[in-house]
Amino acid sequence: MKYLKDPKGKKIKLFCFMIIAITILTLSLAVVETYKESSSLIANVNIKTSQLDSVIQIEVLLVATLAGFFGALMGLGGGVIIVPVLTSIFNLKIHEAIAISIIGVVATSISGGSSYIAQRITNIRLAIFLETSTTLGAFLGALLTLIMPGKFLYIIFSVFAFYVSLAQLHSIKEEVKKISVRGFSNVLPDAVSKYLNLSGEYFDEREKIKVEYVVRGSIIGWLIAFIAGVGSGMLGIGGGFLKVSAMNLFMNIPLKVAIATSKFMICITAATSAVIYYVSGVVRLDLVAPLAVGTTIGATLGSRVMNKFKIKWLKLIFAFIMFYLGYAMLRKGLLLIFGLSLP
Amino acid sequence: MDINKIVYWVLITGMLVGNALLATSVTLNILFQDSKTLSIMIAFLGTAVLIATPYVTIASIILASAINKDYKLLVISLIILLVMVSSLLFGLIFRKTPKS
Repeated sequence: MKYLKDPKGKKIKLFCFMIIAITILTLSLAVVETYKESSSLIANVNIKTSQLDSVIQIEVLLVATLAGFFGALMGLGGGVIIVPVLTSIFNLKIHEAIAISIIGVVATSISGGSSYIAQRITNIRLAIFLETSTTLGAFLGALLTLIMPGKFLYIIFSVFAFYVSLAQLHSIKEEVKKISVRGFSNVLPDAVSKYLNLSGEYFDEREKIKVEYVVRGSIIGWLIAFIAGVGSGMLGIGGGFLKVSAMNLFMNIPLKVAIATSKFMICITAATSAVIYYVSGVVRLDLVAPLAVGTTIGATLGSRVMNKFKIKWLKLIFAFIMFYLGYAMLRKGLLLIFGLSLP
Repeated sequence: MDINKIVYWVLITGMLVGNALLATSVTLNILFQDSKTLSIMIAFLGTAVLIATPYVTIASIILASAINKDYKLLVISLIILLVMVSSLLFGLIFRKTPKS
């Protein structure tokens, strides 16, 4: 902490440069190591791509565009759409689909995230604060997969998704009213929010009003973001629905800000998970290219229209997707744990 | 220093470079059937750029907050970068991926 009190800040800058240099070195090492190991993989993929119809690449591009659009609109990664499509329509193995999907999630969240930052909706301080728990959770989740299965998490997440779906429907009128009477700023921040200066504001293009908000419930939000991270590490899901819900329902953050902030957070969480798949050499590079380009196009379109949507419609779409997610996870959890097969 | 602007430009640059490489890879694959290896190599590089972008974003937030003397943001950003680099090293050493 001595360096941090240095008035000239030179030592701090030196320290930061050192940290960044180590990061760049590690990243370079990862690329070189992966390239060495991927020589055989590239040759293998080369054989597969010779049979790969260009039509399939175009189909992947179109599906990815759709996933990217809805992902950006709802603050989700889009993996919930991509993975089932890749496994059921394109007959990919589940681990291949997850590996490709997570790269697509990085692409869509970079695109959507940058667009929301340009529109000044994203709260970067809040994202960084919540991301400390998500990345820790993701790292811990990845470690936990070595010693225990994560299938029980599907049931917990499905219960939460059903709850969120109902809570979003229930809070439609409340949020519309809160925006019109400046209810988001008429509360006191908690100690963490006040210390880290997490509160903010954005301009709602639909309502033509500047919405100020005060962040509270920081600890609950931090804990839910941690659980989202564990889910990301153990199951390969982004956990965007948990982050958006935690911010909107428990932290007094308007839905549009929650969506934009979640989108930025997902790019960091997804990159942390994606790098593990990348260096492990399980990413199908022939399919990653159309998928990433498609999700980027979709996310660019989705993030441009989100702020023009009525809160009511956003909440309805979000509630519907949450219900579908809850059902999908419950079905998967019951199948993995008890062997029960729901329709 | 406006952190919003810095983060925006880092993300936009990463997105444009990464997607330009990946789009080139798709185009090569569709138009020139005999350039599969080149296409895959470009996709490999494009994917690397995309994955590296969030790392560079956090690094740029660290630098900007150091310049702004915003030490609270600096410390929490450092924690994130530390976990991200640990995850990368973990992946390099154990080569384990999350199961589903």
